[in-house]
Amino acid sequence: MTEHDATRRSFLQHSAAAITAALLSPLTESAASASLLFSPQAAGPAEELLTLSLVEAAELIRNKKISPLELTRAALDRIADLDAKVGAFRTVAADQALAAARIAETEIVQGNYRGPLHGIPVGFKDTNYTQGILTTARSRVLQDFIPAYDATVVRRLKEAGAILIGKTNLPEFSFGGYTPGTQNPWDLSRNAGGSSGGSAAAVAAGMLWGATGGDTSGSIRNPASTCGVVGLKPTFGLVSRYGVIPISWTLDHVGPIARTVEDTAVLLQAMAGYDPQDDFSARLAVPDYRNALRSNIRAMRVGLPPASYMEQIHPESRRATEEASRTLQQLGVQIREIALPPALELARPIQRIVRICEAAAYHRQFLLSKAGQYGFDNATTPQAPDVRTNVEAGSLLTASQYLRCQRLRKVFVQQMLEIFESIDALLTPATSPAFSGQSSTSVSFRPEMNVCGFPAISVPAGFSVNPAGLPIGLQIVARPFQDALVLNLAYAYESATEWHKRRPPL
Amino acid sequence: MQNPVTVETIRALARSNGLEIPEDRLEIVLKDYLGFLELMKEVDSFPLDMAAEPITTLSLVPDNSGSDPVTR
Repeated sequence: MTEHDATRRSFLQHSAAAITAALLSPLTESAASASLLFSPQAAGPAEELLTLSLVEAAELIRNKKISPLELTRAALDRIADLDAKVGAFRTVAADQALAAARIAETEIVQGNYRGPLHGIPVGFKDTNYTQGILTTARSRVLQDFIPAYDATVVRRLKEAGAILIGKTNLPEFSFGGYTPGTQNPWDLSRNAGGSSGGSAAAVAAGMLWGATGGDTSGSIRNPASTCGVVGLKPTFGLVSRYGVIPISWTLDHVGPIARTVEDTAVLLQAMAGYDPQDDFSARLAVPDYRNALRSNIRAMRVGLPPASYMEQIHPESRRATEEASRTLQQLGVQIREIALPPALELARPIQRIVRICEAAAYHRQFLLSKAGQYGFDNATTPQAPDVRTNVEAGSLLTASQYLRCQRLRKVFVQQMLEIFESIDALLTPATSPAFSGQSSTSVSFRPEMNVCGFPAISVPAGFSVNPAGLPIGLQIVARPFQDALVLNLAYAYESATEWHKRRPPL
Repeated sequence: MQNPVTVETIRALARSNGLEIPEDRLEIVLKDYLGFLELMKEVDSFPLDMAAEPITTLSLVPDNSGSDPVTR
């Protein structure tokens, strides 16, 4: 008999007096016994909880069929069972999570249900400031850093009732598309991708129902596609970066990672919105992303890159993208091949120069005082980024070089906007380096979306044949602040396919 | 033609920026720096209108609340 079975059985054994006592006692005491007030009949064994989507779990919590405490314990048990193999976490905050789950239970029992994230265990990339919890960005430079406040995304998700389970793994300071120590749940001999590899792997492995990621060059979409989950890079300015350790102030995005598009929409709903503490935050009303999922996509105009571009993509990703376009066509979407912007070929060098110049400015304080502490994995992991060397070299570039890139960036953004005058969305592969080798093709259309800031999602779109069984992602891009459209199209595609229903063989 | 950018260049540039890069690291930093210069060659090859302005990191927008403009 598992602990969860015992917990459920105990529900039936408690008297009305215990329930009354739970309601009347002070918060901390009632929180400890609040799980007595949840009905035991709906949920199956603990492992079944792990297969629920976020919205399915939320519905069961709302109806008091499962408790936040059960769900949190299931997540912590899963992490205890698997994380030695997957390596998704830097820090697991078990005590805080259980305490927060008890409080959530009490609130729900008392009629103060906050919404679909109330009582849902989530993880935060270890760049997100978490009050009182170690936040290291996987660097010895910050090995003792305990923030005094929460990042805005952390605060907002907590306010929505989410339970902070822990901090997820990444390469040092988020540099690179490889997360040392985090394995792909679909093939534990391979890396999860990066830089938000811990978040994507934890979600794919059923340790969490959602997580945050950061995306400067594709660092949400890359691990999401590699691990077979959904990852959204929202429009630049939609989600606050306040309290998130940066790479590059004008390229960084924070966004959600989850197992389904609807779960992603729920997370984005809580994360999005104006934040006066983020200088780039957009002062715009946030639409209802979940409602927008079921909007009609018929007659939507969707562009595909030209054949000459697609030829440069890994053949299995190309095939998956073409099959996805046929699926959408069957749903009534108009698919057309489009000409890509002339400045596209420059977007990647622009991204790399802007990224390293801004990173060098941020890291200057550490180069002057802690230079010897860089290189968390450099002695053991050849694929690990050499952050110190990168930012030292970036420090030597000139303001003129940086500003030339920022001037050309504006040209690229304008050209992208012109392309979107004739289409509503763009489909591209979200190339998975898991099966194309760690040296992924130079064409992916991921960093380009950081240069222009347009919203871009990766959704599961198939599995590789050779090697067999590795996830492939599809990227959907739209105009700035058309994140709802991106989710709408992704949801329609997901609903017409079965890829998201597969689970890794752990 | 020999590449004019050498470890001496790196040492001098670093010092002018207030950074002291240890002697045993100059070569490896040089390699990364040359990589960035190659990227800049690609960037410089694109014709840029004289009037083109950079993406700004600072703009002044009116505050909807009616208070003073806020710095963004």
